[in-house]
Amino acid sequence: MSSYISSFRALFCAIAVIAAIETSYAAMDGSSSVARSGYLNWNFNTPDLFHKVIIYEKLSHAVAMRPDVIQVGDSSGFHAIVPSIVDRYLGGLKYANLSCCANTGFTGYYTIAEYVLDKVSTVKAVVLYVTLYNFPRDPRQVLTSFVGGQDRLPMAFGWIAPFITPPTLAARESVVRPVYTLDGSLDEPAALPVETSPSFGDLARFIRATDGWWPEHDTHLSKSRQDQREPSICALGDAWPDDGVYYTPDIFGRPQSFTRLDLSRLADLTARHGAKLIVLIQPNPCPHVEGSFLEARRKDVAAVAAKYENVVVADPALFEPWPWRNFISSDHLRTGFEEAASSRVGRAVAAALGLSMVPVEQRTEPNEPSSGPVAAWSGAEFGGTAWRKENVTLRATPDGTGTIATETSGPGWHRIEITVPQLPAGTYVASVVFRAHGERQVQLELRAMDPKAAYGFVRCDGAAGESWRSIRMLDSGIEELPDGSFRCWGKLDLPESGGVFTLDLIRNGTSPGPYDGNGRGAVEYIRAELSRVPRQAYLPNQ
Amino acid sequence: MVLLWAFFNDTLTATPGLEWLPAIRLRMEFNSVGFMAIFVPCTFVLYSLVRDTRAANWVLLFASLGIYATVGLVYLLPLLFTCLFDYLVGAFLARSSDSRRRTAAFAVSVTVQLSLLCLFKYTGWLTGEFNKVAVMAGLGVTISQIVLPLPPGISFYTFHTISYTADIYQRKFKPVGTFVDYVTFVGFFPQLIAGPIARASELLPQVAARRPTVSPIECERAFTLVFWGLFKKTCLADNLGLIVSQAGEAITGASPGGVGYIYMYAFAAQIYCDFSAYTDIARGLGKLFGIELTRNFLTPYLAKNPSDFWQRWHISLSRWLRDYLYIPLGGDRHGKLVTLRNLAITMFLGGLWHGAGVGFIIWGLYHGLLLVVYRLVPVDRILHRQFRAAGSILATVLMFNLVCIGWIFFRAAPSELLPLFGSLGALPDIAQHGVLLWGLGLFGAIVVATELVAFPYGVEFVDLVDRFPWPARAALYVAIFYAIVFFASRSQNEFIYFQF
Repeated sequence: MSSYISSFRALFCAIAVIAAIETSYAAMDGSSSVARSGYLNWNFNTPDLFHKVIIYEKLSHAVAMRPDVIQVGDSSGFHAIVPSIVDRYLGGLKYANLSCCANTGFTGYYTIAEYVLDKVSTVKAVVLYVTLYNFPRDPRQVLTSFVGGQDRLPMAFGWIAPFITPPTLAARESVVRPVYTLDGSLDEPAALPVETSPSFGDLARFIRATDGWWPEHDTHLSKSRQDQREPSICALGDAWPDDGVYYTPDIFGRPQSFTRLDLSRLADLTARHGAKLIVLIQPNPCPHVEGSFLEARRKDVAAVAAKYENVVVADPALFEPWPWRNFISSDHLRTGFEEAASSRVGRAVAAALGLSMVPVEQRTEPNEPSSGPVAAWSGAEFGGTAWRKENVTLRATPDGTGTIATETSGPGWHRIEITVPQLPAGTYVASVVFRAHGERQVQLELRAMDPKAAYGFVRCDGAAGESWRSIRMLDSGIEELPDGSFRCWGKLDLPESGGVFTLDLIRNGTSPGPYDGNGRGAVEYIRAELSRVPRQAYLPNQ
Repeated sequence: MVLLWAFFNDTLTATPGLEWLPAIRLRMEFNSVGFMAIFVPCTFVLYSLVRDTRAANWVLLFASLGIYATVGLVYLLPLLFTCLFDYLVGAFLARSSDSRRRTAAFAVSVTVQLSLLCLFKYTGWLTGEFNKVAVMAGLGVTISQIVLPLPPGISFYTFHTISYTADIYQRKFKPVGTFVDYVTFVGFFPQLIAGPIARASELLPQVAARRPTVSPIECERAFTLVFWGLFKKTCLADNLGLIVSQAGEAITGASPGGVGYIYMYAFAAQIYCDFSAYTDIARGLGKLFGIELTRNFLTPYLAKNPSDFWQRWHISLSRWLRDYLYIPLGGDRHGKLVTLRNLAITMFLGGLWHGAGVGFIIWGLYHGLLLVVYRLVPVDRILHRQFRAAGSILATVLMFNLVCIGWIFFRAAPSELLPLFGSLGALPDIAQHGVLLWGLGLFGAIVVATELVAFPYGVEFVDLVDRFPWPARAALYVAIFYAIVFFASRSQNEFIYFQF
């Protein structure tokens, strides 16, 4: 027998060495269990998926902040629910928004909840916040493979994780970095990118500072375009059937509702941890959701609530109609309605937890707050020396109310830019009133003196009546003025004094950026302003 | 119980009262956690309990069909049909002495099996190509494109079963064992999806026999093969695959000069590591169950001529093509011209076997051409005569580069071919592509080093590990473990040959 066992001595020796290394490392290493999960790839020269990095940051933060209530679900809640607003209703309890995206699937929501419940004993409730469109269904209908909702998330954070993730996995980043970058001599982002977006670090800090919230990055429309678009928000069909994708056969071949199964799992999980499961559905603008689908889901949810004492269904109707104008799509709210949505969650959680402290509601409208401009330019001032020009020629309009910027021939940015060194730190709305000439539109940029500290842009397309902003811009908008010109604006937090304001020409229907000017494309700038605005209370201090 | 839980996880967890069961995803891929951490250990334990009984092959059969069904239950139909049909034909061929009826039965068997293969593998491609030609020719007639889901491993198990009936037909082999043994031979999970292509005469007797307990030496050898295979797949093949993809994107970028070199060398290393990793793991898993699978690779990139290369690369396919295609076509028995024709036909069909696509056909024809050219002008021998040892090295380098050029046809889309070959006119720009070059050097160096170490011994590197003293083996296992922890690509990728 001993000779039989000794035949395996090479294997046993290797296992003993590995066990010793892993045990020692686990004892000495201070990195979090999230870092040990191996959820981020740290692959050679390949960016990790944006959604994965978001989940990673949220879980890291949640374990550190030890919240009392956590929210899981799809992106509707990620963008709509601001924890600091919900906190107002919770009498000192802390709320964390761990919602990410529908493509984690319910397995993903479950795993995220399971992980935090295991690590943070203070959690009293889990809020499941999803839209009607993301009720559980056949996993093959949900594109979870990228984020790893079906396998990667459970393997990194689920019950099996401790068995397949050695502690040294936490050191993967620090080991591969010098190897893949040739000890720093190679271009690091190319050799070892986690996320290619240059604004990502900014976003991660924002998410941590807000306990998981990130403003909706919606395209805003001018009023006339919004009026045209609103009916299309609900143009999904007349009826919504309760079809087969919402059911799966059990071992006896009987159809079982995915909703009952997945909610039961979540209910069971939360019950095991002595927490409540609060089911809350995002408001919806579309009447067509009423029908056999919604009826079936109501029955499913009610059945689970009847079975599990810890389940609270905040709105048993599951359908709270809100006006079209509050939405950018049938499942995402427009920026500015997070106050209302978050207060709704706050009230529901407070009621579910039996908290009596309900504050007076503070509603804010989704309009840009107004205040006097800190700096303003108009008419022919754009042609003055304060504005630096790049690949444009500037001439005042005959009536002197504006300046026409005409691109030069040749490649490059076609822009004007001004530095405002005396600008105090704060939140600013940068705006420009412009008139499009032909096929050129405007991109507005605002940044801190050091662009790494703050940088954002808004692309304003008067022809389409749309404004679209970069992730750091807190909000943006476009308004059509009575004289046919457009006012485009974007809101940005400048963490330090001084700023740079840039106005770029961009082409209709193509990606913005440097382009070959034709010597004719032009835009008329009428007025530009920088206005300091009150900070919304829930914005983080960065 | 664990296997039942894993196989029927979806329906079990959907059953009221059983929602609490942990969800688990079992996959056929060797490099997936479910496969290695749950499926293999459970199957091994169950098999070990009944190893010396008739139930042993039932366990292997249940496990093989069960794990195959995780790809899709429906794929069991063509597999089981193939097994049943050829088992019956084989039984008839073994009993019958009527040569005409035997020939007819064998012809029917081959026709049915190849038709099934063509139906699944080539119908979509052929109908699509027909429509393209019809549109180009202005015929005004198109047919609906028929795209059937390709049953994984169909190319491999079709060749398994053809070899079974062919060997019985030629009286080289007598059927042994029961139907369960036969289905286990065809469907044995380590080799079901991507080979090695087993000969019935080699594998079926092993399957049908009662197998002894696996010795400690064989057990460690099995572990070494599996562990080394996982290292090659996750640390080398998958990382090199990233470089191939990025080189493919860079070819349309601002500085494409020389990118083709990165592309072809990285892919050459990737496909070798990927496919040989699969084979190593398959061989290791086979050993665990007392079954010896044939080797598929033998330091192929150190071959000196095309014939030598095909005796080192995908050996089981080369042997199959030789025995069941090249030799029946006449081999080299009917003069030089016929021999060259047979070589070209064999390699053309070998290319087509890999997949439905122009690239595979060109790749096959290209290798056929290499074989023909080297038959007419034995470049390696000429070089050796001229320069002795240096000539041999030169012949190896030349052959390696010729093989690498062939990989471009194999991997690239038709639209990428011109830019890729065009970029070979310059060397890669280090400033532009330094990261890719570093990656290629980093991962490629391990491939080169292990090949060079193993070549003088006439084996692959993994075969040398047995000869190491035990402390060196232990150190190697620790090193592989940490290489996988730190450098394995964590985007789980299928084995390349799964698509065939």
